Amino acid sequence: MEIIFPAVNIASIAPQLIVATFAILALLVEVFSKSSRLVFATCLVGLFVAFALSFMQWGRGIPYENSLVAVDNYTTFFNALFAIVAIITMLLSLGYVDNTGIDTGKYYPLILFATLGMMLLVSSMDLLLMFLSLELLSISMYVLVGSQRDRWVSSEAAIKYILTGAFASGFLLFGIALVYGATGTISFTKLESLLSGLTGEGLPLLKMGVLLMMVGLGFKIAMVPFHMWAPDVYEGAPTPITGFLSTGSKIAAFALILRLFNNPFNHLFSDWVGILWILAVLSMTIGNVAALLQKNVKRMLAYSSIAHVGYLLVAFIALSTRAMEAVVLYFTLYAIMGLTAFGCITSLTSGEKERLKQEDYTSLGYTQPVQAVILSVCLLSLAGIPLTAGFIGKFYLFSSAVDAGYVGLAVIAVLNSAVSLYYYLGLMLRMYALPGRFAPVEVPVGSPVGKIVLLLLGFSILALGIYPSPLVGVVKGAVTALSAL
Amino acid sequence: MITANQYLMVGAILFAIGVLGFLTRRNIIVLLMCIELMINGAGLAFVSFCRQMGSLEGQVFVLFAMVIAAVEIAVGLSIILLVFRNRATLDADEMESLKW
Amino acid sequence: MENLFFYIAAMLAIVSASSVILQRKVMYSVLSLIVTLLSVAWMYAMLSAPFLAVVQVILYAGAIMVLFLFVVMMLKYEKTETFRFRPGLLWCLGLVAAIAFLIEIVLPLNMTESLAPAATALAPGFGSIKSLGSILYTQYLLPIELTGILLLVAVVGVALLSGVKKE
Repeated sequence: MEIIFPAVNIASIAPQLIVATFAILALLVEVFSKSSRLVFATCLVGLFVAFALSFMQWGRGIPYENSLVAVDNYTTFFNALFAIVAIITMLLSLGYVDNTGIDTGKYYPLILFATLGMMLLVSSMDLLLMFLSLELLSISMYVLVGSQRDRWVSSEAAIKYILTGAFASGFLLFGIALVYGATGTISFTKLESLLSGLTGEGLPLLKMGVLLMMVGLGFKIAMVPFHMWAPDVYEGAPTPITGFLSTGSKIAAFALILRLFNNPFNHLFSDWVGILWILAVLSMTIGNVAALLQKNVKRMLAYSSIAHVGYLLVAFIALSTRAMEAVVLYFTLYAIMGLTAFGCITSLTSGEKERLKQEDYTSLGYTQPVQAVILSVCLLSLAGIPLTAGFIGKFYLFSSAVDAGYVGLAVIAVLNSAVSLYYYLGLMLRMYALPGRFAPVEVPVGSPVGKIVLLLLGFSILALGIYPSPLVGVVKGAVTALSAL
Repeated sequence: MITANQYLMVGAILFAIGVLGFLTRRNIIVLLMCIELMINGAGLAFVSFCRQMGSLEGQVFVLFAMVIAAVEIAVGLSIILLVFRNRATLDADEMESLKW
Repeated sequence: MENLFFYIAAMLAIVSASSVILQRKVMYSVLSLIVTLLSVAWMYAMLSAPFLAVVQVILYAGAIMVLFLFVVMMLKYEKTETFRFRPGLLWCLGLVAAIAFLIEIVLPLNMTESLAPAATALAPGFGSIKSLGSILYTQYLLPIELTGILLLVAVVGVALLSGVKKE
């Protein structure tokens, strides 16, 4: 039997390859030099190179006939986004990880491996590659969540995360099995051409398979009713990782769902509108109401991120080009906001002591003015106040839902945003409360690098809130690739 | 005559047993084993579909699923060791310091 | 004859799987799981997947379960194990969910609804090492490479989680 080896176009997956190479290089550096600074530098260089490469790939889509990896503007956009998210996460962890008993020599390479998983997840055109890259992402995340070995909450978060995550993967795997059984293929392109000719009812096997796959993916994006792990894991994880988890990991899985329902499963979407309508309302309401009751700031932000999944679902239901643009735009803005919020908490840590309770933030504006201002801007943006990035994002999301005729859903979303104002503003007002009799304990704060990054993030929230059109243009280019298949 | 359909049934039953066990047991090692049952149920479904359609992709998928299972178990067991070292318990119900 | 073999394997798999979730002691659960895995390997062999059956025995029942046994014996958790059926809310919900799942999924499963045509005869060597290898290293080259990275992540992760502290 003659075996013909495939022609591998290495240039097409250059950003992913660079990330993988530098992660392995960093591990070697760790073995031979034992300098965590050098490991950090290696990882950072790798991410910057990957970012630059994805810049060069922009607009040069490679057609994929039988390829497992899609190279188009959609994946290029997300490659760049994940590289940035990882860079920011690394810079924010800089002062934090050294004080909290994390093995930095392995921590940074694992962030790169998780980023590789995200990149491949969004670019996969095959259920097998999709499953593997989702696992690569999840397994790196399990380890990162549990990386503070001496803190009990970190271990507890890790065990809860790996158990629910592996449970979800089981559902995903069985769902893929049923889809494979119903269609006989695991390639997205073949699935789409097979299913586009599908008429009428029929194929309960396929529908059940897609349902089980959505259960698995629903866990990964922390959508109600599969959200119960999120608050625990977000609270227990090291704070920079919480930011990484709530932005990178969630966006990657959601971007994959977007591709799934735009290409292979497009014809099944009509079955899903009703279910997603209910899930969107539940995600928003449960997320916001539970966030109202939280004493712990990380937990509050965790519930609010569940609510943000609900907002994203509001536009996703429309599935028009305009709605996809809104969703992808919101991914970007949410990445910035989530990283800023958790970055501020990271930056307010001193030694082993973190400011987690709401009380710790009382009158913070007078002792830590920089972080307090940035956190306030970020909270206003998360609430969707005009002149911030969050307002632009929500405006696009809800208006695209209205355009598609989901007025009721948009109204519920706006009402939910109003509810969320209460807890976001509550925290903000607390920071600017006049100092009472008990002066807050003075704590020295994290690295100057983290502060500079936070300043840049806070600035970009305001800048994108006032002048979003360049980003909107890029997002439009990315979404065109999605529908062009 | 046994058709591939019957094998598929067995796979689905194994999967359901795994789900049931995961939702009812408390020992975290047993929870990991229930996940193994789910993965095996899915594997059986894949292979029976392969037999039915005469294509190999499903078998390849099962091979990868085994690797994933091995990786998940390795990481999962080391997290379990970490938990046990911290608290000397394997009871999922006792892990509730992260609660509101 | 084939019927008989199938029923024995299926019964063995289902009974031992139930035993995994019903045993009081973790050790018995692990041993029951090994029986399940072996009977699944048996069914793989009957479904013309000889290579998978071998891998299932070597990798799953061999390597992975040894890891389980090792951890269970190392932790000596038997003493403190107090398993009871919790007739609580979660348990009832779990039972309802699993039964609903069975009814929803197992009963309507029917392969004849598949879009792909059923194979009339299998190619010679179907499921052998050669046939699997030739598809793995051509069509699925990238996933294979990714598997290497996954295993590396597992190694690094375990080292991070259980390694000694650097001074």
